[in-house]
Amino acid sequence: MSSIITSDVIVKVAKLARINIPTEKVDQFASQLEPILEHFESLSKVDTTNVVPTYQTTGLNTILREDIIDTERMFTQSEALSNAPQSSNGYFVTSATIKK
Amino acid sequence: MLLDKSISELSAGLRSGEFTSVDLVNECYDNIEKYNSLTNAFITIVTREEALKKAQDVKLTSPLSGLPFALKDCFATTGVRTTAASKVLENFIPPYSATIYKKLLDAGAILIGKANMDAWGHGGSSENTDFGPVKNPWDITRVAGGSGGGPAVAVATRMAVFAIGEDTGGSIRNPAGWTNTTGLKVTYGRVSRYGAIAYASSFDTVGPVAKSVEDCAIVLETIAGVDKYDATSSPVSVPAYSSLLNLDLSNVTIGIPKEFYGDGLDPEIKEAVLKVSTDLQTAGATIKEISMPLFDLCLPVYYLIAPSETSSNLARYDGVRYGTGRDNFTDETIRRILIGTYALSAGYYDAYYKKAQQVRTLFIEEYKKALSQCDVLLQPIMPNIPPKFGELLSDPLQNLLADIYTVSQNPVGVPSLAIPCGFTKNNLPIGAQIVGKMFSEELLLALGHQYQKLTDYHTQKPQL
Repeated sequence: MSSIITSDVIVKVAKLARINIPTEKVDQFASQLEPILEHFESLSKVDTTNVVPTYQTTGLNTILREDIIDTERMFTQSEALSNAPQSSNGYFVTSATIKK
Repeated sequence: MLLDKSISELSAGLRSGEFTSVDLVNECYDNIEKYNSLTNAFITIVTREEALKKAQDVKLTSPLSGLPFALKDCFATTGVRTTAASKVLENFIPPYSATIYKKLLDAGAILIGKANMDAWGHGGSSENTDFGPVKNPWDITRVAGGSGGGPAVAVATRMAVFAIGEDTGGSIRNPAGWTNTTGLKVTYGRVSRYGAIAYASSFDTVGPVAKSVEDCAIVLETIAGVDKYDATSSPVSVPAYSSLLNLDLSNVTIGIPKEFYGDGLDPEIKEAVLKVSTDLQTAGATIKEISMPLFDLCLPVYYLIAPSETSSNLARYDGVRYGTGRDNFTDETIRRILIGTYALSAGYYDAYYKKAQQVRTLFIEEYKKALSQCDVLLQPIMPNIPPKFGELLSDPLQNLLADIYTVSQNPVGVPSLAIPCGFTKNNLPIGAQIVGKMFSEELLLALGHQYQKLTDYHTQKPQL
């Protein structure tokens, strides 16, 4: 049986989504997603030639606001940091993203 | 019980001095003490003392003044923990408030708690929560529906006068139907989403859950309207819904889309939902059978676009600025992130994401055509009675298929009113939904109100 979602696909997509999936659970996710993706195949039978995709339904376009600072919606530095798991000297602390 | 009264009765009673806001708040907390441990409807409860203090100081400036309410735990509330039912946000205290919360506070309403839900809105049973599942007060061995199980149960068990939910693919309507409450999924843009934790941004809507259509109308009047902080909120003016509930049914044509009543729909539910049309017909309405042949495609459209949007929205939870990081997502949330990331990734985008957005366009045309032949559509909410715990979660595909009747409206944007319409022989609630054109809330609420004048299902409450 050919599968749409192989374990390799799960590993690749999880990496793109920055999700750590334990090795022993990769096959489980693959087998759970397979029937779901199969179900989606029904869309391929629909003729959508020249059909414009819809990305939003508001009917609104380019909503602009004045280019001024809204002080009602500003955080103080301590408010902005109030939920940070780790902060230092008024900064968020992150793990290093580049190698030395 | 005071909490059995309608919002207009409560509002009048507060003004005449028959009872006070303190009495209402105390009754809510007495019910919370009795019923919350049985149902697990709340994640965070404001202390009684704090709520009582607000009740003592309240000024009666609006119909909602002095009334205790619950928010689904996906709305930012300054200083009150907001979790989206996920361990990722288990300690998150927002430094700002959602627009609807501000509006309700300005109206003098009193927050008593943040209600349980499926994490991030991902689910239809309120089992995908890191705070324990919500139990259905009509049978605590069964789910309450989701994702907004908590708000619906809070209203059904009189732990709050009304609640606010968020509906992305049925999250207000599904639990309303399964708990015998009334809920409104509004037109996309009718109510501001600012401060609502996003699931799928182009589907998310914010709306009321209450004991009756009339109560929903009063709450909607308060929370609807354009918001400068939500560029997708609509400038369409807000009617005085609660004073526009009179309706001559002889002017209303109700469409019955036959595809919604096919195989897979529980016969007891089918009978109860169709009885809504015959009851309204007896009262003067016209019934018309119509066809919506694309119906079956709504699930793939919804379950490609919503996970795509959620995979993007949940990218922000990096555990750096707030939250505990990405290792704390549940399996159901991980599945949705994986599906969305897959559908958006290079090589699959055209076949999945873009294709779904094209079929979405066809759905919009399908609803336009259906609603040109009638004024509203009568549809079931759920194909089955509320399942026992674990039944849906054990099979991820079945879990998605159960949403078939509630996921076609959100990609289109149209509003839908969920109303109680009967009980199974085992005394489990059945709900129906009435779907209308964009911004037809006025008609939906008036029609729902007329139905609730003819029936008393909505006045029944669970005996816990």
